[in-house]
Parts: sequence; structure tokens; C-alpha cells
Amino acid sequence: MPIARHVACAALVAWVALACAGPTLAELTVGEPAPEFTLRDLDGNEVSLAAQRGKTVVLEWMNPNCPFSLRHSKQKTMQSTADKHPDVVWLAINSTKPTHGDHLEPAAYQAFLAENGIRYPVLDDGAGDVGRAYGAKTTPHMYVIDAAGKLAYAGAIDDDPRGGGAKVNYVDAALATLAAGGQPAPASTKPYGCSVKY
Amino acid sequence: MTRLGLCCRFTLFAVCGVGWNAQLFAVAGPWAETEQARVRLVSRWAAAAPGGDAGLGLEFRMAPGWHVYWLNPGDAGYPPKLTLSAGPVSAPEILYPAPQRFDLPGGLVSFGYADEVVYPLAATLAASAEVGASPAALAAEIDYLVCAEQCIPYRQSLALELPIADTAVVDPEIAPAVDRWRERLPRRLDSLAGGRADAVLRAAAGPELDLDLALAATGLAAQAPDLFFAPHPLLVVERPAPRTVADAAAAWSVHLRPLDETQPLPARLTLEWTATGLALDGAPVALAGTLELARPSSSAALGAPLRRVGALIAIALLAFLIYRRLRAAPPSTTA
Repeated sequence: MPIARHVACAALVAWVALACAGPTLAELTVGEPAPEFTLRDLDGNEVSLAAQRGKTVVLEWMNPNCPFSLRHSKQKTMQSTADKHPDVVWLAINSTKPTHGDHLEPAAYQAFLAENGIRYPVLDDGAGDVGRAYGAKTTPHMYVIDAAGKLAYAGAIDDDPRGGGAKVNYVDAALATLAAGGQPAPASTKPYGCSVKY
Repeated sequence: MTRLGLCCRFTLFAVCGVGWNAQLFAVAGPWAETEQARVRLVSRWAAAAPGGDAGLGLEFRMAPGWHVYWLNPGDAGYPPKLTLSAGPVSAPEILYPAPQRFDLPGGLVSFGYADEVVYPLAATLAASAEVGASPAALAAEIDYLVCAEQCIPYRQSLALELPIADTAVVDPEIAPAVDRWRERLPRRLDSLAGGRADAVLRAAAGPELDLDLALAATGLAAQAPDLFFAPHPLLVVERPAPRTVADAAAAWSVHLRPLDETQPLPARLTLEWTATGLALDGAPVALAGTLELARPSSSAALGAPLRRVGALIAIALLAFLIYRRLRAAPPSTTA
């Protein structure tokens, strides 16, 4: 019964397709566990999220060739926020695909970081898997993960997409709230910046 | 000032003697140029009348592959921001013609304009503007983002010399371009004969919602319909899925999520939509409207995920039944 088998097969394929259909990017919910990952930094050392358990972690999606990432690097937005919260682990993640014009080789990346006084590690996610798992849309796109590994904040670094002067640094506020034992509010904002170069 | 009067202002250029030269009279400011785009202020008037529409437009021409943004930029980007710094006109409000959808790698999406756009500007020339004096000198700052694979923010100064006359005079060179983009501004659906937007907001998983929207009006038909929403402070609006509804020109289902899941949504939600790719009596048209919707009670909050699981089980069961039935059926008549 080749026809019957084909039809049954098609029905099953349709079911699987329906069950699996979904957006390319994941949608994380604040309060749920942040996706685990292990990536390499620019020196080739492995860095995993699980190893940071017990500490608050900030993830910053970064691309030095994106003017928004560049502006925050030059203005020290991220580094100064990280410096205000020394107990927090700040990790930048670069999901730019290696064939994209924005891709930087590790040496050039290191030079960029040194030039802008950035001391936190940058993790390479050239395959984009971690970016997609987090649903990272823009550079910068910020995530704050609490000591228990749960997502506490996702969205923009601040309320200033155009660079006219920020009134609220959401990540700074979220970190202060977490340190005081509270839950960040807002827990999500709309991120702004360049699209992540998947 | 009449067209003749205007013309005579340019006799220095010895043009009037040989006839009207539209090029000289084009009311357009100098281009502010970058590698990716050039932008200028224009007016559809060769001379504007005090107290009347200043006829302004913000014209962009982009290098191939680059785009600027609609009111809602999508996942990344922002629309231009124009700040008037001098001139006898009211603060110009940028109006947004029907946008285009740009799909970016990673499933990201942007809404805007490629190649060229003239954003019409709503602005009125001051009633006190002096006729016959020198042209009104307008100056403005533009803050915009232009994107292709990359994005580049720019801030530039724009200027425009706008002649003033008792009666407005159309600029034959600029007016067609401004008018073409004015025609692409969405019309309110409720201003059309038989204009009707049927909207139902349904509870989905957890705090999420599904919106069913169907548009109809006398003489309204779909060409390549698409649906866009103005930015919402509380909701993430996912890509509308087209569907077919009897008696509707176009219909979609749209999944909505709270931007901040930790905050409850208000009992009433307001959504501003824009639909493109439609035709009214055969002519292309974009439509817009406002939906005021009551958020469905959260009683369905638990039901929705169960329904989703139920649907999957039903599909699996159906697939199994088809499979069994076909296996049990006598062999097909083919040899």
C-alpha cells in the first residue's frame, strides 16, 4: 500500500511540522530559568552560565561595528554600570556570524576593548545558537539573570535609543533592585540598536 | 505674490525672458548627504500662503539596499525625528506613508522605506508671515537612522527657503513627489462607505492574546495585503498571519504578548493598525484604524495551553486514524 503509507507519512510529517513550528527566535519569560550555555571568550577559554550560579549575571549582546554598541562602548555605559555592581558577572556575547562584514577577529576585538577600557569578557557565539536561545534581537540587547539562574530582566540598557541622554538605566536599576532583594520593574523593555547579525 | 511676481524675483537670473524654468523655482533645501542617504526639506508650494498648509515634505533618497523607518521601526531602528529650529511655521509633524516590511537574518523584521520616501509634514505657515518680504527661512535638525545590513545614525541640519504669497502657488517640480507620498498616507477605514473592522480579542496561553481582525468596505479588495501596528507600550505584536474571512477584503490573526510579563495588562487595550496592499475601487490604498478592545477575562488563561495540547493530540489521533484506515482499506485499484 504505497499510497496509504505516503498519506500516513504526510499526515505525520504535517503533525510534526505543526508541533515544531515556531518563531526563529525564542521568547524568554522573566522568572523562568535562563538558557544554559558554554561559549569561548576571545582567549579561547570556556565560560559557562552554570559556573556563575550564585551570582547575578548580566548578558550584553555586542557588536563593535554597530553604532549603538559603539556609542555605549565609547560612553562607557556598560563598563561604568558593571563597575557600580562589582559582585555582578558581566558577559558580552557576540552573535555576529563570521561571514558578516561586522565580524572581528579576536585580535581586532581585543584592541577595540582595550581602546575603550572594556574589561569584561566577550564570548563568541558566531553560530548564533545562544543568541537565538535568548531571542536576542539587537546590539545591545541586555539580560539580567539572578543568582538562582532565573531571568530577571530583558530588554534595553536604557531609555535613550537616540543617544540624547538617558533618564533611566534599566540594567543599573534592575541590578540595584536585585541586590536589595526585590524584583526588577520594568522586568522587560523593548531593546533598541542594530539587528543582531545572525 | 503671484506666479508672475515670483518669476520676476528671479529676473536677475535672466530666466523669465526665455520662459518658466521649474528647476530654478523648486522649493527644496540643499541635500544633506551621507554615503548611505541624502535628505532635504521640500515644499509642494512655489509660494505658501500665510495661515495655510506649508506643504512641507522630508525627502530621503537612499543608496541601494538602505532603508529608513516607519512610525514603528520593528525589531530594531527608529523613525526620523525632525526638530524645527527656525522659521514661521508650526512644529512639523512627520506623517507616515504605507510602510514596507524588511525581513532580516534571524527572523528579525523592520518596517520602513527603501530607495526613496517623502514623509509628508503637517505644518502651518504662520498667519503673521509676511507676504512679499524675503522667503521664510526654515531651519531644522534631523536625527535619523539608516540601515541595510548595518545601521548608521545621523544628525544633520536642514534648511528651506519658502516664498510667501497671498495665495498658495503649486511648485510643478516638487508637488508631484510630495503628493504621491501624501496619497500613500493611510486613510481611516471608518471614513469609507461600508468601512468596517471586525476585531475579536481571544485569550491565549497565560497572559498572551490572539487578535482576529477582518477589514471590509464597499469596493475594497486585497492585492498583497499586509498589516502593521503602531508601537504599543505594553504589547509585543507578532507577525500577522493572513486568513480568509467571508465578506472581508483582508483578514489576519495576530498573536500579542505582554512586553513585561510581570505586569498585568489593563482591562482595555488600544491598538492602532495600518493595512497596506489593498485597493479601493481598483486604486491602491492603505487604510488605518484604532481598535478599542476589552481584554478577555483570564479564565481562559489555563485553558489555552490545554487547548494547544489538545489540538496536537487531536492532530496525532487523526493522523493515526487515517493511517489505520488506509492500512485496513482494500488495496487501491492500481495494478
